[in-house]
Amino acid sequence: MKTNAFKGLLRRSEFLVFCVLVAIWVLLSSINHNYATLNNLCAIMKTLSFYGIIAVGLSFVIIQGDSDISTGASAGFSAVLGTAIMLETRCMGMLDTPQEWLGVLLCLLLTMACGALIGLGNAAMVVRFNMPPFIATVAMQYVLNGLKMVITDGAYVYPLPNALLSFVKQGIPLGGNKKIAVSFLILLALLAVAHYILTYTTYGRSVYATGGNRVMAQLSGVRTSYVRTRNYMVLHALVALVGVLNAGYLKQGSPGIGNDWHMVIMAACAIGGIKFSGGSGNMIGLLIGLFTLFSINSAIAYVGINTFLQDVFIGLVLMLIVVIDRVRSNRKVRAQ
Amino acid sequence: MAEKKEAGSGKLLKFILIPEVTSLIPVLVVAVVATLLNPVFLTGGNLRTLGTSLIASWGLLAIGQAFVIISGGIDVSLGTTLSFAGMMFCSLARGNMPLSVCILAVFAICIGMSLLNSLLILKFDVWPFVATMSVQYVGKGLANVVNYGADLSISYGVRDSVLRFTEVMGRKPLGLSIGCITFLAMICLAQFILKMTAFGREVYAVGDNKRVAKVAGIRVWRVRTLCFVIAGIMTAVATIIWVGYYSGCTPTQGNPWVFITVAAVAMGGVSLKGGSGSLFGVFFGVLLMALVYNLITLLGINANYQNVFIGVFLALAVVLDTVRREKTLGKNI
Repeated sequence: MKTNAFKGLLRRSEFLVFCVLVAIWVLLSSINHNYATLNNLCAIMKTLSFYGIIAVGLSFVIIQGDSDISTGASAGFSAVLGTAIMLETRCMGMLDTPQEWLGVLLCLLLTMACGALIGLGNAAMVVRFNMPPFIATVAMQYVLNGLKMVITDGAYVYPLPNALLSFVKQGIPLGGNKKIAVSFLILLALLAVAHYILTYTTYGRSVYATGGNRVMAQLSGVRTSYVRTRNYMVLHALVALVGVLNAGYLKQGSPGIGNDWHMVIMAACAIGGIKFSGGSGNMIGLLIGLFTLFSINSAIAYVGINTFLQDVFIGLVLMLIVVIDRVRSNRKVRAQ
Repeated sequence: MAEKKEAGSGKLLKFILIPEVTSLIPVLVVAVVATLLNPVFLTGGNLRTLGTSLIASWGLLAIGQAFVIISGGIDVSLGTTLSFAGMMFCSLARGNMPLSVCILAVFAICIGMSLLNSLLILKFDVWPFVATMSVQYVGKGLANVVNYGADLSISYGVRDSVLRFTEVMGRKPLGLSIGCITFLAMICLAQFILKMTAFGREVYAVGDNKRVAKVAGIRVWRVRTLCFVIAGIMTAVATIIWVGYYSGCTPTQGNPWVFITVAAVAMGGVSLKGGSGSLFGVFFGVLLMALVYNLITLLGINANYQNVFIGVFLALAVVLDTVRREKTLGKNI
């Protein structure tokens, strides 16, 4: 019985990825003693939180059997749009007043609503017009990449309201100047909510059902179009949140935010066991996947090899994981 | 009467939905608009610029892309492969290598990347988009690795043979650049291969329905691999022409071109589902994208609208394709 449980654990891809994660930290701490420190861990957590929040939304879309590569472009667009709204409306007229945080919040919500509209656009193409998700979202990616430069003519948006700047600096202090960034806390909260939705609610089961077999799900009464559209909208609302938070973190609404993020996010989802074929994956795996990817990415910088190799590495990782995934599922099909 | 009218409009719709006609209409519209808005458009100088700089560069990639898409795949790695191969060409030339080695290296890289794509897609059964996207990132990184993200020029510090090569590539016989002439020749050659040879018919059969093609005795993996290799060869030719013409390369040179080629191929009436379309349609698609770029420049519109147009055209082409399938094949897909 016990050996069976152990075997089951071994067969879980999350466990294997976790072993890889531990191996990286052990290996790197012996190569460079600056790597396995609380400082670096905090830095990794801060960086991965931005990608992670989007990855939570994207994993719903992948689990439902679709995909989205306009996330990076959408983040950049929202960053510019959100900060431009804050600047133009002077935080809904509440700039430099005690209620400034309320103005920032309203602007953020407005940006997230615009993000949801972007998601609705993607869903319209994919769900209503039945376009292949990759092509449809590439089209959206190009449109947003163009528009984000058009809004401000490529200029950076600053100065940002103090309420936003001080908010992104918040965190749980860990002694010294180290702290768990507020964006990471948001990520953890989102992961918990997403885990609850996916595991314990009817909606979560209908997401899995839609990804597993759409026709069957439809026949058994799941409103698949509604589920898919809603997930796309939530994804892009979250992307908008990340865009504004990241702009606050960088102290300016830069159109460079989100460049090539989609690839990193997809790689993180893939490592985290969210299968591109749809219908499977969970949030614990996603968290482990995020940590693994960003630990390796940080390791490349610490070991001191050409940092341009990070692109090569992300491509290779995605390639490897998808190949493993396909070989496994083909073997399963053949076994049946 | 009403019935007759309906039949008439049906015929018109069917005529418009012929791929080549659909792709020619926006070309004409854009050309007319351009001429009306800016008389410079129709001058010989501008048209030559169009042919030299715009069409030649991604036109060749679009031909390769068309083969891959017609055979039922997609290759989004072509652009970064071009960047990587171009950087390697320059790097080798700066390392005092003879011209032949540089050219061989470009062909080896481009065909190698194509074979990697086809290995992932055919052997490991990975979706074409995901497979080629990971290869795209590998190429993107490698292109930067070659010279630590900086440009490379081959206008000095190289062997005489390379200098002579750049001089020849910069020539303009008949007033057209070598790239433009190659593009036109390749379009005709590719159209001949697709329509007049057994291999061409196999490409359509495989793209239309792989299982049926396999049952009919076509070696599907061979046809699909060959299509990827053709795309690789086209990329290599485009790389050599580009590097020769501009005497240098930047590590992000071809990166934005991939989806221009996909949009051009799709606007040219090639179905992204595979199995249909012609190279003459692709020619109009390439011309359309070049015209839009040219128009945006001529009218002094914010250049970033180019991206918006690529996206809109891509979406429009897919919707058009769906409409075409429903109307001409009469089935709901």
